[in-house]
Amino acid sequence: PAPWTPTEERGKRKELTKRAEHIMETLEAEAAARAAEGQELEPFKPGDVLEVRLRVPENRGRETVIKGLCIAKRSRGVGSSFTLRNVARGVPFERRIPLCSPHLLSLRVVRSKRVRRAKLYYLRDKPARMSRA
Amino acid sequence: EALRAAREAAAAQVAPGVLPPGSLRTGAVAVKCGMTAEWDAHGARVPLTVLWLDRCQVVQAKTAEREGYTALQVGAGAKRAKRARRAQAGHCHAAGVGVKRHLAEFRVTPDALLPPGTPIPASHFVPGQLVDVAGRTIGKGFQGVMKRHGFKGGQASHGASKSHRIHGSTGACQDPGKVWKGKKMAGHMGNARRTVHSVQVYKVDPGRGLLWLRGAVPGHKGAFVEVRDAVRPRRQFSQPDRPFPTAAPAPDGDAGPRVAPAGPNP
Repeated sequence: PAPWTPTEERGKRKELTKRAEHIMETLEAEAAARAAEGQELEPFKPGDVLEVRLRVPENRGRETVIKGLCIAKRSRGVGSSFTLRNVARGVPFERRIPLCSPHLLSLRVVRSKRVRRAKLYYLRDKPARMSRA
Repeated sequence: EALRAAREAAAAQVAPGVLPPGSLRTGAVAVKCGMTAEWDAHGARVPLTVLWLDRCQVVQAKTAEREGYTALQVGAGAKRAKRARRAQAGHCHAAGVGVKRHLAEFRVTPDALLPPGTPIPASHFVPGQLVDVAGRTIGKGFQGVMKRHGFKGGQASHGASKSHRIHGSTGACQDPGKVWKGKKMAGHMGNARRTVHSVQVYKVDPGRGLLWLRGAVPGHKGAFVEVRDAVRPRRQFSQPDRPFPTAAPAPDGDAGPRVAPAGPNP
């Protein structure tokens, strides 16, 4: 049964915007739980160097490993994601990966860097060697 | 009590068949709840809008004899009878339904008429089908020509004097010697009824009265929208069979949501 009753049956009524918000919160929590039970991911923070295994649909579902420094972590239920930054042959690149994506297979924390920020966007203005994972 | 009995009696009369070609069936009134995303069977990310059917019911059946056209007036939501205008409350009471917050009419063919009180459940829509969604867009107020019509504006520098976001010329010279009617200019934008066509129904949860639609839909969260079968569905989308005139309401403890079959691998 739904955790919300039709408005007709409620004794006390809330604004429809609040009820809509409640519905979305419930659905997001369920969707995030469903995505989380599929994959067991290590807890990580911005500043950790991560090794991420992804399934690449364009490459016939083969696994690829991406290594990078986590410069941002966004927690929004199903919309949660994190951004990895690394330098490849002198060229820095960033990649944002959704946490609830079925393509994300596993995560491993390789190293931890001490940072005093939640988002490390300042690295974009710094020399490339500081972003090397 | 009395309302529930009338509703159940009306629901029992519905024996859903399949939508015959050339017939038009009713739509539904839903509340736009918000947007989310899911990954389909192929692993592609699908942006979704969640619509909630808040006790969507037929309130009045309009026939050619009485009103001169065939339509079904459908309502959703609820309002305290004390707060509703007496005419509104009386109108819903005559139909044997609770006072509705929003009413909308859907033109139907005479074979799709339903008795007042019939609930229109979320399973009225089938995952994979295309629908048109109409709603009142978010109001933007008085807007300039760049936002309202996508004009490119003027140069930001290079000596442009006080003409960065204006419309520029409004016409030719002596011929025609006037500004054409309907010339795009600054003005009020938004807060207008708009319909998004051919939106795919991605997922349906009849037990909770929810529809997940692919893409965006006009209006604010918490606003009412009207959902009907697509009037001009794209031909390459073969529509699934849809319950006609409407679906039977879900029994308690029904199975969970049903997802649309995944299309070709993108």
